[in-house]
Amino acid sequence: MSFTIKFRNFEPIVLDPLPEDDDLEESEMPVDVAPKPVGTLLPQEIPAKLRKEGGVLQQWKMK
Amino acid sequence: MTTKILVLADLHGGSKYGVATSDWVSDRIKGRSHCLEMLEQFNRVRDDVGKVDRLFLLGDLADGANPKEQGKDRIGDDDDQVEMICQLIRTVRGSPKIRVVEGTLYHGGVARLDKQIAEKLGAEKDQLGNSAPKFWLGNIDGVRFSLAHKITVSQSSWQYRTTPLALRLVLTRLNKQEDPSRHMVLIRAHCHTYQGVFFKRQMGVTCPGLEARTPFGEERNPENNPDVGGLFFDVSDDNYHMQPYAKSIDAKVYQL
Repeated sequence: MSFTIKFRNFEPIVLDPLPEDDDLEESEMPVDVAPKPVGTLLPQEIPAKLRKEGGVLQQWKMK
Repeated sequence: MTTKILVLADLHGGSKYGVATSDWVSDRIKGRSHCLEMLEQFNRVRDDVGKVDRLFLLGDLADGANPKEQGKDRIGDDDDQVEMICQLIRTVRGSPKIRVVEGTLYHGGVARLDKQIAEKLGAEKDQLGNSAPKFWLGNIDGVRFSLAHKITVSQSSWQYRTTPLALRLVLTRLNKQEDPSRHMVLIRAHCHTYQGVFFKRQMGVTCPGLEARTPFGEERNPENNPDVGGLFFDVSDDNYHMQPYAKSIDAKVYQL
């Protein structure tokens, strides 16, 4: 068995930076995104159910 | 016999910098995200490789709560992220067998989004019944694969990026994770760039992601251009071909 590697040249892309979040409508901003003082838990340590109920992260719905 | 394997990682679905399908991106979000640009890159790889027999998904498939961006990059909640990524993965042709390794805690969270995605997609389970282990070591077509998400991203000049990969290949051999009768392919992700180290019977590569430049990345290492794409393996007639899809996202240059 032998390894072979096929190299292809992919042209790089450049993307325009995204607008600042401040431009978003307030109702659609991710409110209260900073961790609240729920014990010493980090956001990812909060049970999903609590997060979904808005305990820590206000869910930012797309539609 | 021919076996085709596609490797994807770091899709970060649910982040405005990650991949998302147009159904999940409102008109307003389109202009405020790079989701559809990343979708174009996903489609390019998927369509170029065609039907595949196996699909390796190496973690951070959904972006989760992502406290490192303070949640500001979210375009959907956890359930939406999982559903959207599953829909996207199902567009890979060939009904491949899927194997998932789990990514980072700060993206997957306690809800373990990568595992949720693995279960929804019917991914293969390891010997302990886990469909998204942190690490998988196994044999496919006479080659031994070592799959995991995380690898350190060396930024020092003389070591640069290949050192962490080479170190893992050495440890793989020292700790007898290799099979002397087989070639060894070690794949990692997490760094969002493609690089590889190659020896006669060993290969160590990192898989590009599908996420654009992020504020977190530019704060830590603005000189680092992320690569988007994936890896493709084609085994036929005792030859192991590997093709990286690695398209650099260069920094924007301003003319004053």
